[in-house]
Amino acid sequence: MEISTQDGERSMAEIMKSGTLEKLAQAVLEGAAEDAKRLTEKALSESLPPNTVLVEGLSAGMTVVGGLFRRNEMFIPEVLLSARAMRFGMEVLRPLLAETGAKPVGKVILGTVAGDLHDIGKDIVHMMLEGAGFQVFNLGINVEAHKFIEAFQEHKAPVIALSALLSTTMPQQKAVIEAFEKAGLRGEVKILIGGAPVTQEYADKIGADGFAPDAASAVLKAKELLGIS
Amino acid sequence: MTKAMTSRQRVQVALDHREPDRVPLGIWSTLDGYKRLRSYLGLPIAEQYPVGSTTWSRDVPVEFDVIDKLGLDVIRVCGRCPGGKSLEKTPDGLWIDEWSVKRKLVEHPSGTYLEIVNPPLKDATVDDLADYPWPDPSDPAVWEGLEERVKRLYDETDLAILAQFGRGGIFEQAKYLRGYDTIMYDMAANPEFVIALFDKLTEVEMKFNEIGIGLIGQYINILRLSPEDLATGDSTFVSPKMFERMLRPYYKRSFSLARKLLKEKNPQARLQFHSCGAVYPLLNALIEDGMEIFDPLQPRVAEGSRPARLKQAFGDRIAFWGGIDVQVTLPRGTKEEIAKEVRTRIAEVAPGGGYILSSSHRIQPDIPPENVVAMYEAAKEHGEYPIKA
Repeated sequence: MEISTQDGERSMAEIMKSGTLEKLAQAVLEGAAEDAKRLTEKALSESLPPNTVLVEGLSAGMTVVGGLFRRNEMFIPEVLLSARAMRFGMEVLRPLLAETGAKPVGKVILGTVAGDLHDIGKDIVHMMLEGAGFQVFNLGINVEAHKFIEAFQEHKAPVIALSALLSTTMPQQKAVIEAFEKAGLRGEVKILIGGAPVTQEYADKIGADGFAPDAASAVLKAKELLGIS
Repeated sequence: MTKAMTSRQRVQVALDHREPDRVPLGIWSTLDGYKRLRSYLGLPIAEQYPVGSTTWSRDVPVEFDVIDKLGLDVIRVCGRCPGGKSLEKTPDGLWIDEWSVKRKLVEHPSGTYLEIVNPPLKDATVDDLADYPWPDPSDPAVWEGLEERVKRLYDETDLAILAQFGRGGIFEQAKYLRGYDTIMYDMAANPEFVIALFDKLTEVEMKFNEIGIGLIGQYINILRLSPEDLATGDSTFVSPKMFERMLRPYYKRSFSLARKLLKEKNPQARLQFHSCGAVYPLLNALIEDGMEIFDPLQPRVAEGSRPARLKQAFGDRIAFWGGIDVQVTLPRGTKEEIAKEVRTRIAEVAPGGGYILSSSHRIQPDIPPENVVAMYEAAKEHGEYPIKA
């Protein structure tokens, strides 16, 4: 391998690091789960901090996936494959992240609202958020408003992300906002909504703090709501 | 225009890509939407309705009295559920259909929907498929009385007849049996299973069509294949490349047999295929493989797949069904807004024929019946040929 002048100024360790992390990101992008696991282990064996492996390896790959998906250049089957690769890497990293006390970039409580049993879109959002370094509390599907409040009281996550696939369940997003108001907790959370029939106009109407038209945007929006660049 | 045409003539002329006297009208409804419509029209509501072509969705064969009262042109017919049953309640309070898929009845303010619980083939292997209780197309219960019923409609009404025999389809039924996320994942990671499942589902679909066409092919104007959903509102579920490799061969097989048998019975009859969503990238392949009518035109999908674009791109090769939005306009629009959308759609799609106007999906429980009536009234008012811009 030829090393240009610019590269020459970098330490060997940095070159090795960028090599492994780039390959890890690529493995996530290609949905190669075993490679992702192996490369995560390799990066750690090169003494890279777990948080760096997450952010510059796994998350970097998932960010590319998110962009391609949003532009219809990548489709659900391949996104699910990438998600699996990311999970394989995360399984190696998660205990170490906890050990080193690396702080998540933020915490999000996520769920599909009451009456709605759809979870694919929500789960893609989950994966994208985790990929971006968020700690996600996924409450599942058909989640009653009071469950979001209880989850907030337990986890103190400042972002509540509400998914609704049906026009008939969208009003439940409003019900959750009202429940937080009633509990006197509205000021402590930012409420992010999404789902096929949901629009910015609807978000404004029901007083949500943010709307995301797709999973990749949900990450950007969550960061924006928390003031993270 | 000189003399008014019969409904059957009107539909046939439109399907032949010529202009009839006015734009023909079709209907497709959920059970809840249908009951509301009947009640609004002052027609009696039965305790029970026969199950339509898609058991779990509880769509319903709209009866002659409603079609007559609304002045529509197409009546839909289908067989019955294999086993002579339809949805059955399980001991745990779920509803099970002829594919052994269980669903939970979820109540919404405007009506109820059935949502899948624990897809039965979620953890299955290729070997498990052999023992699965597939619906049996050759079960006489499916076909009992169909020929007599349809012959009577053919002889005693002048309506065009749309028939659907298949009860589930290929990709769509695979989603229900395997779970949406699992089948999507499989398509990228587990092609052997996908191929085995699609093979089986294609075989079932083809058998339903073979028997049904044999019985009543001579009476029908439109053969509708089991509905599939190949796209969301934004994009196709799988890449066009993956479609080409993993789905198209099955549609090709299914279309080709259905077309051959249908045209032998009635050369004028046409093959209709359904997929919701932003399907533009796949339509050319489906047309090459034999689709003659695309259902449904949907105005609120991604721009590239909206009605005017599809008409412009494919209008000389296929006819279209649908067009009037069930997401916003019909459930929440005023009479004027509905009429405006009807006029727009007619101007976009009706010139040259090749258009049967209907709601862009089943009439949903939240669509007020007066809006359904307003749609058809506007279509009659503005649908006379030649179309005024």
